[in-house]
Amino acid sequence: MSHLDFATLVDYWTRDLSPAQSEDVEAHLFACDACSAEAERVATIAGAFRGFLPPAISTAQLEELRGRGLAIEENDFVPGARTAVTFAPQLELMIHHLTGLDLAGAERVELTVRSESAGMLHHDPYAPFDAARGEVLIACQRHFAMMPRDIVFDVDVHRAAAPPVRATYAIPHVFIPPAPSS
Amino acid sequence: MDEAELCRRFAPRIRLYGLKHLRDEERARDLVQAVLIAVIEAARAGRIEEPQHLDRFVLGVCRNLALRAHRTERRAPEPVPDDQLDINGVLPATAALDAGALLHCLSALEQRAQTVLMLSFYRDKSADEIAAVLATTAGNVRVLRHRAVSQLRDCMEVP
Repeated sequence: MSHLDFATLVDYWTRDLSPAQSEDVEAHLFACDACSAEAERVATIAGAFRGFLPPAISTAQLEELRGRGLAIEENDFVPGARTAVTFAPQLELMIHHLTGLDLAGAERVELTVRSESAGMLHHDPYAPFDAARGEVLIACQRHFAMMPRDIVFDVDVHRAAAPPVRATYAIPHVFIPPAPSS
Repeated sequence: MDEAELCRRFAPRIRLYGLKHLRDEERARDLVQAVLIAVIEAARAGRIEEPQHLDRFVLGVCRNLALRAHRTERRAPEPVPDDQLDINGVLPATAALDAGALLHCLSALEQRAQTVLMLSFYRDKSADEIAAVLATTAGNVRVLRHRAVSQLRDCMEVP
């Protein structure tokens, strides 16, 4: 029995195979120990992403996070301003509301997170947005402390047959680590 | 193949099928229980016509029960009481990868590869959709993606 190549397993997991190809892959996985083990590794990576909270979140995700009882601080930011934030030791999450956006008729919103000194850190061409409130939500997490501090968010609003409109938010971050537990 | 061996061999594969199609660990584990019980009952009743192709039979049951779950839009398949079949002994412990480790390993990838992975696994975008926003081809997206997953697997030391 020949084995499935790794690229095919990734395509299967990301739904980029035809239904017939997917069925063939599934039939093979049920019969082949080695490919089943390899598929498990792809699934573990995919699972890590599903459990990962990306920088840009939806309003529904924010509601779900609020419902978990996490220590959250929320702040509003307007385009063009430079406003520093401190991730205090007792916090588990900060939510940055990038407000003041005209999102009427937006097809998609593209978020770029960059460091003024180190360049692009994160790029999300399909960032969730709240058209009614005119805002994009950023879930700032403690492990982002490993990133540079001089953070800038560029939000590009894409509409049909029009060039994207950009809003920029410069938000330098300071992370204060929690006190070590005794 | 005895029943214990059947469970040991197929439980991880059924879970994977469940994760792919039902997209939820708990529902995938419910599927494992329901499928294994259905297969064991069929085997005991002599209803498996080609025992040498047991894998096909198990996959068929798996597809039917997962499809039923989609059609009824319940948290189906209906969970089987744990005491009827303890699947924990035949499923690997769920490998929970640390978000910090994922971020660290992601940051070692080139930016375009990071974006492709995030759009594929988190935003559920197809290679065609990703290609459109990154101004490249779907084929290139696939190549970037499988190389990046391979690098992540090594960086995160996925067993």
